[in-house]
Amino acid sequence: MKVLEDKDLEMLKQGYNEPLVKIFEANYITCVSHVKRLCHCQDEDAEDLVMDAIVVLKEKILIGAYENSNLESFLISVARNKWRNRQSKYGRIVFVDPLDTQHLIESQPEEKNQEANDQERELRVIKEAIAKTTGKCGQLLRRNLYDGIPLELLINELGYSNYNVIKSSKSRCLKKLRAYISKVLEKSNG
Amino acid sequence: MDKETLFRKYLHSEMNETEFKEFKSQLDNSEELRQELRIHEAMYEDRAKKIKAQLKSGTPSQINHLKFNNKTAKIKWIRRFAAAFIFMIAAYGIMIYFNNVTSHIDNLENSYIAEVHLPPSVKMGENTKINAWSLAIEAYRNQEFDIAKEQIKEIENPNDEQSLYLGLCYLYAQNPDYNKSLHILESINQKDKSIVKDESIWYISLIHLLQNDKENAQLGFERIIRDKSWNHKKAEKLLSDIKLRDK
Repeated sequence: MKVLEDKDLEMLKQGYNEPLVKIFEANYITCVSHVKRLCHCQDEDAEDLVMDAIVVLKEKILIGAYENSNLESFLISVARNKWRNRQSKYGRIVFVDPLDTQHLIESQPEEKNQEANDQERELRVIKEAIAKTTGKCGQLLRRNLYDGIPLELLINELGYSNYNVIKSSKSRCLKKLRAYISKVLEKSNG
Repeated sequence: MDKETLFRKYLHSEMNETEFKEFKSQLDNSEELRQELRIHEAMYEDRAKKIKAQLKSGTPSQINHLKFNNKTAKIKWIRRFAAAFIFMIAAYGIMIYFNNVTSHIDNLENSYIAEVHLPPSVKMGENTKINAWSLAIEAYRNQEFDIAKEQIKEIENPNDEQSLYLGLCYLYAQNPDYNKSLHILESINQKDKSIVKDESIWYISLIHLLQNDKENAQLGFERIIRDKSWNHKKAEKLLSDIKLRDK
C-alpha cells in the first residue's frame, strides 16, 4: 500500500482505529521483512517495531503532520528509528524510581523485572490520578493523555479560546496531577 | 520548541543525537520536566499497547506468521527466478556486446548509471555505532535507496561523502529525481576541495546526458578527460559516442 485512501485517512483523523488493522495487514509482508533484515531481528521484534510505527502514524495523522506519500517507506523509516533508539545508549531514558528520580541511568538486564513492576505501578497511579481529576482539568487530561488527542484538536471541543490558553491550562492541570501522584507514591513507599 | 512538540518528538523517536543531548540536559536540570515526561511516556505506552492489541486481534499472529513464511518462501523463489533471468539477460547482453559494439554504445550512459556506485567503505570497528549514517549505508548496500535517502536526510550537517550518497539515492531511487540529485552534486562540485569531487563531476555529467543536455554533459566529460580523473576512460567513450550521435 503506497498511499492511504482518503476514506481511511478521514476515519483516522476522527479518532477511529479500524483502518490501522487494514494498514498493518496490507504492509505487513514488505515492512516486517525489510525491518527484519535491516535490524537483524526476529519476526516478533520486527512485527513489534512495525506496530510501533503504526502508532506513530496514527498520532501524526491526528496532528495533521503526516504527508500521505509513501506509506511503506514511512513505516520502515519509523520502525528503524524506533529500533535505533532501543539499541543506542542515548535513545532511551529509564527512571529507576518513577517521578522521584535524581539521575538518568542505563537499563540493566537484571533490573528489567523490577523496572516493569515499577512502570506498571506508576501507570496505575497515573491513571487513577487522571480518573480522580474532575472538572475541566479532568476532561482535558483524559482526552489529551488517555485518548491521545492533541491539544490543537481539543481547543474547540473543550471550549478554549486558543492554543496558548489550552497549553497553560494543561500545565496547571499537570502540576496538580504531579502533586497527587507524588503523594500516592510517597504513601505507598511508606 | 514547546514542551508538547518536544515530548512528541521524543516519543515518536524523531530526535537526532544533538536534539536528544539538549533534551537530556534539560531533563537533568528540571525535575518537573522529568515528571511530566514520565506521565506522557507512561500514557503513550498505554495507548500504544491498546493499539497493538487491536492490531494483533485484527490479524491473528499465527496466520500472519504462516502468511509471512509462505510469502517469504515465494519471494525467495521469485528472487531466484529473477536472478536467473537477469543472469541470462546479462549473458545475452555480453554476447550482443561482442557481436555489435555500436548497439552497446547507444545505451552507454544508461549502463553506467545502472552500475550502482559502490557503498562507502566501513573501517573495522566503525560500524558498531548505530546512527543514521550506518543505517543509510546498510540500506544503500541493500539498494533500498528511498530508505537510505531518508536516513541521510536525518544527518545534521552531512559531510561531502554523505551528500554524494544522498545525491546518488535521488538518482537511483525507484522514481529518480534528477534535479534534486543534480542540485546536491553541484553543491559538492562548487567547493574548491572535496574528497568526492571527481565522483560528483562524473555523475553530474551523466545526469546532464540523461536529461539530453549534451552541451553540459560534454563539458563535464571533457574536464574529466583533461584532468585524467576518475572514470576518464569511460568519459572518453561517452564523448566519442555523443559526437557519433551528433553526426
